[in-house]
Amino acid sequence: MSKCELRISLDQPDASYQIGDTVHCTVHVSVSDSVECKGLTLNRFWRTHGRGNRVSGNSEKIVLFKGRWAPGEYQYKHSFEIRNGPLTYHGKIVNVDWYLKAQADIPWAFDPKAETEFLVKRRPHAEGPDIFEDHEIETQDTSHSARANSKWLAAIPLLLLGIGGSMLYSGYNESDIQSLFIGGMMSAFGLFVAFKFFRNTLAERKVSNVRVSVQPKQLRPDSHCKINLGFTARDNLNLNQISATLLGTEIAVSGSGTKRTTHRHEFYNRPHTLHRGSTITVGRRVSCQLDLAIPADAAASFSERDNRVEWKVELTIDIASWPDWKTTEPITILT
Amino acid sequence: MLENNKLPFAHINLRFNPFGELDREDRAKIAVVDVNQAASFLSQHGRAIQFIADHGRGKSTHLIALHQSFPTAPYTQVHEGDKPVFSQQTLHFVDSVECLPYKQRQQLYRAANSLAITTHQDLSHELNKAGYHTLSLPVSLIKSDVLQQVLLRRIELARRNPGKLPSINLAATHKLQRDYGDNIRAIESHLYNVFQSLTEIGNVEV
Repeated sequence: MSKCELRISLDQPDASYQIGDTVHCTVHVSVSDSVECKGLTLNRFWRTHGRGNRVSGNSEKIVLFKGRWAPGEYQYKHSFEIRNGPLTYHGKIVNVDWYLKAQADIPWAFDPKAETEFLVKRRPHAEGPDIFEDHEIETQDTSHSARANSKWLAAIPLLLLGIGGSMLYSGYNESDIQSLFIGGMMSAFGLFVAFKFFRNTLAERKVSNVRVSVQPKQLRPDSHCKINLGFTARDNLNLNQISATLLGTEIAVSGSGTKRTTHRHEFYNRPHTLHRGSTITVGRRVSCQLDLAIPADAAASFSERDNRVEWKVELTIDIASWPDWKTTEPITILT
Repeated sequence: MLENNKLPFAHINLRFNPFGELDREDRAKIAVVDVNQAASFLSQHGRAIQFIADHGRGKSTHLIALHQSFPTAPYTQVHEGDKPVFSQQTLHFVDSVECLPYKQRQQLYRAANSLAITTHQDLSHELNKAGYHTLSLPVSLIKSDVLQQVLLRRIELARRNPGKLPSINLAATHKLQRDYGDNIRAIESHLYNVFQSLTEIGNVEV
């Protein structure tokens, strides 16, 4: 039986390219005996690997050869431009890599295959504006909007606490460990959800008319994002600080259905201070701003099924002896 | 974080972390499962095989490996709340059949002449009642050498070039079993973190 082996080589010895580069590759075929080939194909695509379910995309396949191979060595060259697609990313739980895969369709035999990766990096000093036209997105007076739109959501933590509390009570009376456990878990979760839900509502007893602006929302590495935050003090308050934290997180989902598990890894966390501690008298309007620097090597945002690299800005008004006011604004780091 | 300027895991002669998620095709490749007996049993009419174990013990891997012997048979992954419709078939493969309500399981039994399933609970009584001759196969990686083989196959699957690879010896395998029992998923999760930090090829310390 004929033995057919494939190998792929690239023009760059380190397999490293930038967006906009042309990749020159060669598929080498080694055939020991005459064989019919119904199609030698070359497929290029990106694929994730790591903790999350594997996802692939941007698949482009071409046919390099069809016909009969006599024993010998063959080379098939192909070139393509890297126009778009995700950048190569190697994180802790999410990885994105580009691949070339060659496969020969040999009748009545296992199809020989070869696969190789190539790296796609961003082009430094990319052409185009550093700051993109963006809709000014402001969080309006959250004190009214939160209550108006989310009254029904307040029932969820109360329901959890109610049911959990009942189970704890009956479990205690009947010495039922299962009820105690489930009741305890539900109550703890209900308290957690209640705190998360009511935190800003409580904070808004001290601050009102909170306006937040984070723009632009689409940024290149080594650029800046303007943050404006303003509020009116509803009461005399001691302010510890107002801060903006740039957060980068990998999110990977493995399994499916009841076996579905979400993994998270925070790879970047840098707080910045907009306003240091001070005493604010009732009725005073506080406004502060910050030019938030995006790191020059910031990983590009990536969002596909079960694999994400996300960036966001978390804004905090840290009120002494009172729950903090917090909000989160997602941003996109471009390739 | 691995460098974006280098091929991933090239420093340890691998293409990816061997203990990350794999697709079904790759899971079949690494399965250390003797399915000959099961395949021979299932090839006859009116047979049912159930792979029984708790979560993370390798039931799905066994089913996927067995499915390689019957590639044209439909394979259904069931999740909680799903209501798949099973067509009349000679053979059905169903993963997590306990997620189906009783009535739907009965519909499956009416549709399948023969059946291979995974389940947390022993369904032999209802399978026998449905007319199947049932073979129950508990799944558990108790043998250290089998567990070691599973782990080494994962590493081999991730091989980049000919030559040496990181290795897990029997002593390390015993330690993993002491720490995690037969929960293969927990073992793989732990090894994912170990391999993420690995800097050189050799015997891996777990």
